Amino acid sequence: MTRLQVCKKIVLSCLLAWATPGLWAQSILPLPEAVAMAASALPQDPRSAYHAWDEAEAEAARIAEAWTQEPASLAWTRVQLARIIKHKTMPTRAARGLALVHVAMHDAYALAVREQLSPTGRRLALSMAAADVLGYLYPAEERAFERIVFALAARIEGATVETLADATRLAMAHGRSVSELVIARAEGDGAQRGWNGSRLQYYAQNRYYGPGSWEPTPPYFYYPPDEPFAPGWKTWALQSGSEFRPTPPAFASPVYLEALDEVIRINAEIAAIAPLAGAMGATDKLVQGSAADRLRIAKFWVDGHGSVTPPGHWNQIAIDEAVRAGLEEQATLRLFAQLDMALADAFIACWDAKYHWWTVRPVTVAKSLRNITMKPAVLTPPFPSYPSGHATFSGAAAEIISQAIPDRRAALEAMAEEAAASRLYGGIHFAFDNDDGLKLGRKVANAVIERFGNAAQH
Amino acid sequence: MAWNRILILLAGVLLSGSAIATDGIESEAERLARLAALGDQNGLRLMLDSGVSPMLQEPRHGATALHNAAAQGHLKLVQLLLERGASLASEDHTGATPLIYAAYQGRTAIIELLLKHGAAVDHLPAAGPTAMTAACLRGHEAIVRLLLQAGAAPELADANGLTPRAAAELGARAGIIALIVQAERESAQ
Repeated sequence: MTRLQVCKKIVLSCLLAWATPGLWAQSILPLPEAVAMAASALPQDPRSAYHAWDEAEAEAARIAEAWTQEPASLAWTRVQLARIIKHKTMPTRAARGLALVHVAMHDAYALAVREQLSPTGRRLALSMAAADVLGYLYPAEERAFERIVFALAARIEGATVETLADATRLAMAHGRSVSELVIARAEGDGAQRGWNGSRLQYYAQNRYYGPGSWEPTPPYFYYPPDEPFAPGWKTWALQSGSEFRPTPPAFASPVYLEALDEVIRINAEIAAIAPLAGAMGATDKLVQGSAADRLRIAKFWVDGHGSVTPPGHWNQIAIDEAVRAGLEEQATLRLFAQLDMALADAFIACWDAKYHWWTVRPVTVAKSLRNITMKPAVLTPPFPSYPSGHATFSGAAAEIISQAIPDRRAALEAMAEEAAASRLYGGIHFAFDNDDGLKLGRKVANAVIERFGNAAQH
Repeated sequence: MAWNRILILLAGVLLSGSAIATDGIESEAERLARLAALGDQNGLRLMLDSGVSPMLQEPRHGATALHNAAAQGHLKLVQLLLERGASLASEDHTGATPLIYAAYQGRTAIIELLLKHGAAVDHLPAAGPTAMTAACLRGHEAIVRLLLQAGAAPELADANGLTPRAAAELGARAGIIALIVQAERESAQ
């Protein structure tokens, strides 16, 4: 598609959106009272001799192309997912970041509607809000995202960055006025605690040492555990991280020992076929069967270091579902803001339980109680077991997306169940970690819906 | 007196590296339990000297400094805490005593010391293992021997209904099972 065709298509889609009746000004954070910011709040020219402008233009071209086919915010979701992979963002930080960016886009759009900006102006406002928050989350990118928005604006307007119209710059400034509020919230959300700029300073605050307590796990025995201060992070919808705190079965109780034996048995079955599966591929007919299926499921949902991570995986699923359902701009913004707030709160609630109970991982307890050396199919993460983070994320995400797109509920719940079970198959969680994680995630999702409304209503 | 206490705590913060990271709100009880777990003898002594009670329980798990020092095998700290009046009978939220923490973590020297000071060998927590089932679960044979010598009941089931023998059988600990069988035989005579 030529540049002219792309521009025409964007203008047409914007006119169509403008014709849609009804205002949509409900925000998540309080909006700026008066938008008195001048276009001069933005740099006159974001280019520099130290940064490749053609990279910004190429990304802007991809976004402009995407805008002809789907809601504007999805392109920025993809930009963020790519940065999660590039910077090897931890799942916990990914969940926080996704919430910040999607709330910023949601509220920038709400502000733009309130201020009666044009549809193109609304898209540029949400773009600048996303770019600013991404720049805050990834300072090593050196404001690459801001350059992308300028290149995008220039492309849409058919101008250069120096000759952008005042209305265009004002639309972008609307986004910045919202991103400043979102970044101010982020600065006070507690996620900075313990970090000295290069490493986590954790000295075993609140660690538990009694029967059934967590120990660093093989093969790396990494310590300290991930995000031990996260239970105190600021939540979006929950009263606190402990609002729905679940309780695990007692250590070495019959229920506990039964669950332990289940992990050990499944792990042994997978270990028996893993070398064959590795050599031939798990889809080969010779290695098909329940153990091979479980290994495939464990690997599919692993979402480990350097991936989009579990919250990113559920954003990918949500993109597919939103596009399939043909959600409009506003419904998409509402869905992703709710989804990512739920994922962020689910993570805080899950970590609250993890660092309240400090329960031991299967690989450790199989050796210490059963004298059996397990070889989990996936790497055991370096933090306490109960409940499963992946299960909690999945329970929350499936519930949020299902409420927005009800005809997909059965499929989404099946995905969540499979994602949760993958941790049992991977040998890193007990079944009760997964079951209670799913339930916790659903409770968090319902709290988000209760507070912020159903995405399907917008 | 209050100033004296503040100065001593401040000195503790400056002298103890482990205190530097406490940038959140940490209560005296949490701090005492944490320093005990880390083996920070200097920091712990400063807190006790300033008048902090060794009986304080951190709120999350109900552990005292003695629980954590015993679990982590810090013998000198356990001695210090016992000298300062720490209770061997203190229970965490599951009802576990410092002896149970030490038995679970395999701290033989600590077990000897606690038993010498009169720790209750057959304490039955509301949830979780006894000292015997904890040691049997983890395969700590030397500790099982010590507990039996101190008069532990070889057939006493814990709150989960787990007996020492059943606990040892989970991990096929032949040496421990033999000790228990012998103790059961002797107690039957």
